[in-house]
Amino acid sequence: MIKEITCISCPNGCEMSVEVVENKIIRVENNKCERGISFANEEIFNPQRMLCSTVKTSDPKNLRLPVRTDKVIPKNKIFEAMKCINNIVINKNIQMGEKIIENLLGLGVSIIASQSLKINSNNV
Amino acid sequence: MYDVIVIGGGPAGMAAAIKAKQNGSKTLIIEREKKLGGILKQCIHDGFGLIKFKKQLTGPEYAQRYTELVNELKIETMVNTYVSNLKVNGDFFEITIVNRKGIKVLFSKALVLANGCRERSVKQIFIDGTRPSGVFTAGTAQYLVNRKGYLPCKNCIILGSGDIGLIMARRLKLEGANVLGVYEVKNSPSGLTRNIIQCLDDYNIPLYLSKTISTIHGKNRVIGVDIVSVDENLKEIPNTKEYISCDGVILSVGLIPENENAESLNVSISKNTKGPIVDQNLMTSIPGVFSCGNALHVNDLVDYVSESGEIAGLNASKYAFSHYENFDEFLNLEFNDNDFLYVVPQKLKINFNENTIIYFRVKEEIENCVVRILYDNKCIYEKKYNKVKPPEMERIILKNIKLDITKSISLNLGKE
Repeated sequence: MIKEITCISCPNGCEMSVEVVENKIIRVENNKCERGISFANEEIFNPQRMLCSTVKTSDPKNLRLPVRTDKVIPKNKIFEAMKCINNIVINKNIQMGEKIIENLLGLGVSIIASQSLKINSNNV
Repeated sequence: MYDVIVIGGGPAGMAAAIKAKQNGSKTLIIEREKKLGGILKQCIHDGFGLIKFKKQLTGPEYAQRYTELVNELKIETMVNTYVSNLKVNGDFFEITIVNRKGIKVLFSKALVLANGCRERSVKQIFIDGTRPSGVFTAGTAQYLVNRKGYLPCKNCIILGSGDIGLIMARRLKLEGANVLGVYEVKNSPSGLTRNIIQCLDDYNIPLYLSKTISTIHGKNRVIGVDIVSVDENLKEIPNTKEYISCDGVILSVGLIPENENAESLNVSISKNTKGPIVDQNLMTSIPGVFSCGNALHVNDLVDYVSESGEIAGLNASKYAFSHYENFDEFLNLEFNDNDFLYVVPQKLKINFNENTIIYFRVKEEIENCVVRILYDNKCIYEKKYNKVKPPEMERIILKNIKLDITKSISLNLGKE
């Protein structure tokens, strides 16, 4: 069976043809680099995605803090991950890259801050 | 007196200011928001910096790389400051600024216009109907969700398949809204292919081509829209109207470079890009005024925004040190309107000692084509493409060449 998939690893967006026989990839065509091959492998059998969102903070001057997964997670876990993220409220200073949630859903992936935050305690 | 004043502290402006400062110029960034970073502050998704840093950064992460450098270099910055007037005064510029301290006039030898672009609004696309609340441009919706934590609607339709609309389709879905569909008036999507996949396909959000909104319904709040099909000339096809209930309309129908301040200086504006006409140094028709980023032309990738900022900033700095030859000795980089939407730069200085970076967008999607530069009827550059399409801006580099003012140079598109 031939599947047409577009690689999203880089702006090239190579439109690849992937031939799958008996649950194994036997050929990948139209990829411009090696990343296309590993993307094809993942995408056919276990699609993964980065998740980026925001969490609530207690700072009225900076209501949301952007966060992201530090690695890709299975595509089918995204909404479950969103539920975890939406339970968080940040009430302390945060450094860019700091872990907000460790081992999200037991996947060995962290939710990290995508921006630094300095909480304003005064209404200046 | 400053050497270089950069108007706009987003990715273009920061890149420009950094280069100017590193080149030894007394530099100032003027930014209207309270923090640098521009639109990147609300672009919390990843995909930024693939070319420049070989990483998929989020908007804020990309911005931080520049704000850190701005701080390290101790570049002077005025935030919460708005430029209300620009004037040429002989050899230098008068910049009137307004902020909480009041009104002040600053002086500079060179200017970099890096003030980005605006979204096309509902009023500019002539949709009939009442004017209920619940109609947002995608950027506004993005600001509300990502900076303020509001969900602007619960059941929305998105008009326009530009990148911002696609990104917001995903964002709204992630935060619990129901995204009924993305409607695109053209017969092909406007945004990057990888966004169609990551934002629509991934979330089973349907994309409808050759459709648009004819009427928005609702008194105080949107209650629904009429969708119509259009032909290849974008004219409504009769009897195709369908009503869709919704409580929000998100518009992603185009970005327009912001050039009010350029126009006040009488900078020549290109009708193709809606940004200033520039040479390879990104200098406009007014000597000493440089343009970069989305104010020059709307980019897809922030990496190229930064690149244009670097070029503009460095050249603004060089100009401030020694006013170099003016705009007159150039050739127009010609192109066919039927092949290309635009080409930047539009002017090529005949004595230019470096490589020229050329950005262009084709008018229609074409497969297996060749882009050539013809000078004096000879081909001096050629590049083959498997596929080119309007949403994906291309970049080519023309090697250093001395031009003759009596000859002509053009960018051409041909089938292989």
